[in-house]
Amino acid sequence: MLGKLLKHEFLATGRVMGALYAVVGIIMAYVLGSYYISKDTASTGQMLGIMVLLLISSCSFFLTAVVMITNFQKSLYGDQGYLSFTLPVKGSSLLISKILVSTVWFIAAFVCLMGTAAISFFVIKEDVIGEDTFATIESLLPIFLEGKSISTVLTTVVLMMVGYFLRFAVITIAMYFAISLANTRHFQKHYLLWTIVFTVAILFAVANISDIISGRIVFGLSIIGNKLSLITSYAEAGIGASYIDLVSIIVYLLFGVGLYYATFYVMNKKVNIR
Amino acid sequence: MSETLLKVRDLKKSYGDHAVLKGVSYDIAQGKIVGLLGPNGCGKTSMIKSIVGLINDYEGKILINGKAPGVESKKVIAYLPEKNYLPSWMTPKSAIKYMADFYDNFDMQKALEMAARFELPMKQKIKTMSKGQQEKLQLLLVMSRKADLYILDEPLGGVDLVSREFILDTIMKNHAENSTILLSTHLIYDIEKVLDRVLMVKDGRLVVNTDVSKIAEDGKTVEDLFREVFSNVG
Repeated sequence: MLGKLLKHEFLATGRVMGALYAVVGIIMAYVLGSYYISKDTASTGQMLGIMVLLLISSCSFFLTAVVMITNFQKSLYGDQGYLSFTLPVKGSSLLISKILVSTVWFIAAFVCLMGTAAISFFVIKEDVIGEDTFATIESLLPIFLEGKSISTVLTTVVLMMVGYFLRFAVITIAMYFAISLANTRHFQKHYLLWTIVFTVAILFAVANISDIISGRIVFGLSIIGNKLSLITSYAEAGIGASYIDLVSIIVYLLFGVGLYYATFYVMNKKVNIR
Repeated sequence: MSETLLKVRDLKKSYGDHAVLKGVSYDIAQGKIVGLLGPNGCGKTSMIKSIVGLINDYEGKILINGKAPGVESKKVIAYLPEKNYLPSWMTPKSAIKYMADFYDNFDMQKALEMAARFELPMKQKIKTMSKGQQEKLQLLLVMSRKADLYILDEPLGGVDLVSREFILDTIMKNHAENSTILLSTHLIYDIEKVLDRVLMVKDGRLVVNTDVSKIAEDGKTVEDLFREVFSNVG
């Protein structure tokens, strides 16, 4: 049933998010396509396209959060809750499907931001400064990769991505917990206000607690020599070495699990659908 | 004697300090059409929401086919709430597909036939459909399931006499064989002729639980009894 829930969750949220990223895709294709056709100078159209991309990607996280909050509120605690909660599915499946889909859209927002940054870098830099971007990257890459194997670098990138995606998932669960809490009897009257208050408070708490613990405990991965090694002090990594902070990943993971169960409890035991 | 399909024991539910159900107990047998009667605010909807799994923080026991409300009970209960619960962006076509996806006992062919009979615009978004069309769509989604228990919360409320007859006719003609119907309403006259049994709820308590035939034996109608029981309710 999780597969069916995911399908319908994507259908419900995809109308807005899908349309947004379709527009992003078309603009990206236009900017890149027209850039490679006439390489000399960036046209007004390309610059306009880049500006629209920058605008969309800078708003995409906020827009994703708004769409996810609205969808969660409507489909569970609004009138549609009468449909959602009477489906023959487990409450956990209902919640997991929403968390997964929301995380995917946050990742899409991240990819959109990265893509926009890369395109802007390529087109603007080459046009304004006159450098060949590929040549620049080619010359810088060996310096960055010096003494490191490709697999080590890839593993590092994947782990860093996992860390980011985990944060997106925790942000999602925090939002869902905040919405659920805001829909309990005491807060239901001004649920929107309480949703915002709780979301900000939870994310602030999670980030600060994570920072405090990470500041006190050094436990992570760093590229030493040509391989990724576990380190427990910054001295082991050396100055300027990349460091994947496992402590914050573990803290976020624990918060994610805790918030998931708290949301599940509130959703099942404390919220009465309007 | 018919098997018990729904068993409710000492059901209590409060919203803060306000108790809406104060220890309700009853059994409903398989194959019966039962009227859940009472004025607005007497606790009918809270009782129904507890049975269908929308309210979980109640006290007491509810068993459907011997099982507490959960995934298994939701498979066999077809529930029609008072509200329009379908997402506004859906169309009748996508709503039918949605139900067919989740309910094994959903009869797609029957749903499509009913939609054609009701003259529903299959590709029109629900938000642009009339209230009457939306109600017909919800009704067909419920009645296209081969459920063991149909729970219909005020299906006749807020509609004219002709529509009430249409709704009642649709329910009676389309419910699965040997299924049970729990029909909540405060409009007694319209449904009296189809009921086997009545439950009357007053101030969160079950005050009447009897067969319609027994009421008739006493020379009364369900409406007479309803007036007797609720004569002092404003």
